[in-house]
Amino acid sequence: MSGIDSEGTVNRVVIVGGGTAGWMTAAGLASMLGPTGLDITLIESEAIGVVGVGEATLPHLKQFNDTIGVNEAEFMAATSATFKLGIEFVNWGRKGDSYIHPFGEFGLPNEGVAFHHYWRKFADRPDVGPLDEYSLPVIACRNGKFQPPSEDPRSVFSTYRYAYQFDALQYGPFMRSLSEKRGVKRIEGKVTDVALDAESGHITSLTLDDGQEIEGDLFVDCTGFFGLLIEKTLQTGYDDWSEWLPADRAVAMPCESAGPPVPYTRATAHEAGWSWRIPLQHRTGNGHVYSSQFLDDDAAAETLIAGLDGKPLADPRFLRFVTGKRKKLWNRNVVAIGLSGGFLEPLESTSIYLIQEGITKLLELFPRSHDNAVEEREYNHWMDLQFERVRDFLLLHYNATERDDSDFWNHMRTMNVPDSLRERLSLFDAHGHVSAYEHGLFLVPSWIAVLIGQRAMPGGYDARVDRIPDEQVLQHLAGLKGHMAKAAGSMGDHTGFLTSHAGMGRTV
Amino acid sequence: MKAKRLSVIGAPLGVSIVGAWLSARWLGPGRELTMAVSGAAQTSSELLLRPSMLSFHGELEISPDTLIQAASAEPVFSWTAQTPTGAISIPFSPYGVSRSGVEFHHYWQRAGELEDVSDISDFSLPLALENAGRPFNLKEMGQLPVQFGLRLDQARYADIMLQFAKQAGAKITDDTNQETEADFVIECVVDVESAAWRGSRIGLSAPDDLSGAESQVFANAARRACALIGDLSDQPAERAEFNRLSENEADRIADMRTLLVAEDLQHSASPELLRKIDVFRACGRIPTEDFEVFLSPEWLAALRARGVQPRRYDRMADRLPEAELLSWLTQLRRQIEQITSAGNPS
Repeated sequence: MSGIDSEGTVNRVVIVGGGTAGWMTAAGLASMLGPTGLDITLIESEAIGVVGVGEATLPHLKQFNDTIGVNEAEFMAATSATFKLGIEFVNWGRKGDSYIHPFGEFGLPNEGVAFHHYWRKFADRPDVGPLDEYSLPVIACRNGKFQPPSEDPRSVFSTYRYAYQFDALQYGPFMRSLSEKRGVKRIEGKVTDVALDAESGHITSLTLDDGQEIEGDLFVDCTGFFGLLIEKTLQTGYDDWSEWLPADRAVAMPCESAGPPVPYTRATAHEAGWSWRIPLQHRTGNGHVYSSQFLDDDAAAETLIAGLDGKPLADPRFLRFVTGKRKKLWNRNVVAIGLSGGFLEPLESTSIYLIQEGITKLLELFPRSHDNAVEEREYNHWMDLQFERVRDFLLLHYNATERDDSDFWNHMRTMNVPDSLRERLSLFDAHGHVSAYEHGLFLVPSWIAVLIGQRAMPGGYDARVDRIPDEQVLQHLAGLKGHMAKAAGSMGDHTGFLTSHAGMGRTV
Repeated sequence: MKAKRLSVIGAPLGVSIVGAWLSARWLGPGRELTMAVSGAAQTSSELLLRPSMLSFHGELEISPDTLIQAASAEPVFSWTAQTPTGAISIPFSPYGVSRSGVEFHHYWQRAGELEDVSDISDFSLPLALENAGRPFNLKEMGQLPVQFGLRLDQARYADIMLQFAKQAGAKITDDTNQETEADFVIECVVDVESAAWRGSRIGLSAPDDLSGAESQVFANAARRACALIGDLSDQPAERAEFNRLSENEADRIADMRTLLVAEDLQHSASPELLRKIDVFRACGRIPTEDFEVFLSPEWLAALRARGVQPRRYDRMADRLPEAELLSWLTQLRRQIEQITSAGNPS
């Protein structure tokens, strides 16, 4: 028997916290398991603010939205969203540098050899130009272009994907509305007490500030950095990764848009960290992530304000964090999703991806009963892998640099990186090969974008490139570059697409 | 400038597969490739090429039709493995059809809790095709929603690949002392050890105890070596990467071997295999490592054959109403019967 209605089975989920993580979890569970009779309650307090994590996302969010049946146009209009084809990194390899990490490929492989090897052989020639010129999404970003990708694999328009940049403060209410329509019960209140089963140590119920007692079988902690259930109650412990990623502060401040929104996020490196700029339909999101070891709060805010494109729309808002993750993101009958589970700076817009991955894995492993040690172990194994691989990729940005203009950069450039990253860098440094994995967020094109974008030019290239006569390769490069430029030129204007497909300019 | 000389030596199957790939993808100006076969191919033995070998040959522009005509190849939909309790058939394609992101076996398990349903193998199109007792031509194969491999004559296959390499410019010889004049040697043996690159020599070993694995391992190693050996100079980073990937591959194959033959699974399994067993038993999911050799349906068949059964199915399978679930299973069986009996896969 399925056992759903039997005693001792998991049939009541209580989500604590109603920010992005909380309402995404509610929407995911309600959409996928609501029809099976799962009872889902979300507790949040309007008196507690939300961090509003991650206005910029990765292409995976579209898949999540599609799976739970979110209408893209409605979603974009409701959250003032723009499209995103990549992230521009400014001042990372050296001051004055700029490159884009696109959501897509560079060139096309030939005879089984990745494109960047052909490019590398002739990279010093002026007519060959930077690698950026062989990526359609990069050219589109630089020219403010956008059109949805083609599903025809033969088309150059199939070589990229897209994500969204949205207003996180509007995203929560959007997901709340969707969740409540699908049966999620919302309770306004603050948790004042947590009851544990004396034998198993599992949480049995929560008491709210109005005296209500909320019982549950499985609890999802979306209380942000506070970690009310996973840490304050269960004392799970935290893996502190600030040894490798020492940024521990952020200051955020929205500003007016200075022009039409561009289809990419910008990350600009500074003296002791970096700042983000996320263009939305109605404003621009800005923030400065920095290390308090190397920069004080006032100086960080000054740097942020000095770089704003338009008039500030709010006072600076400071956040503190410790980079790392819980030792267990699933502990007993509590699953931590979002900032309660861990924090990695939003340099590559991974916050919402990690929330999404947490929800997806929870759905896959959703327990029938409290006897869920295997599911717990598997969930933690998977999420550890995700966090560690994202961590290495973030660290790459700081370590693969020539910057030596501050103590911060000298520290980052010369640090001992984890073995997993050191081995990757050695392999790429030799002949441009990228050590591949399947179960991780950032695949080969992403590593190439950052490594080459930050001047970590490999010493050589795949020797198979030499099998093809130089003239033939150069002709191919020229043809491809022209093809990419022409294709980008034929794409529509990003703002125009937002107006026609995402409600830009309309009153929501 | 002196040409770079690469020798591939050893057992006919390995030399022919690795050499063919290198002749197409490594050989070029300033490079020499010599292939030296030691011993004859097993003339009477059959070889199984797994489905992924079709793309390997496709990249060499060797079509399945060529193999069918020149090496008497026949499409196969599964492979046979020995377990302590007898032989089992392991399909290359999933049982049933997944639905809304949930694999079929969860639905099947749920249906079994509602009423008597026939064995899951009765919902396997590949197993039904295997047992259909009639040949399938390539046109039919292209219309079927299943992956297929090829069963062919090993000696004739090796000969086709050697001829391919020769036409691509490789030198074929029976002089096994070729390695003394080479800058780099790849030696192919049939064994269960993992491949290893040491100095200017790669030892490739492929297992012959799991049907289809040996040709797959040689093909994977050929791709890997071709990408990483470069100009044949000593390259520590590439060597480390080659060895890492090869060890991982050997470990995954060893996991399947252990799963199939170990008397005491719990005490013989690696941590990665134990993870598969535990998670499958707990909730019917099969976790994978990076770059698995065997596909999910193969692990499922092997786990079930060894008596590892899920305690429960995925709750998402409960979204389908009971009546719809049971009717769907009936339809699936009917469709499988129609496909296999009518001779018309549409």
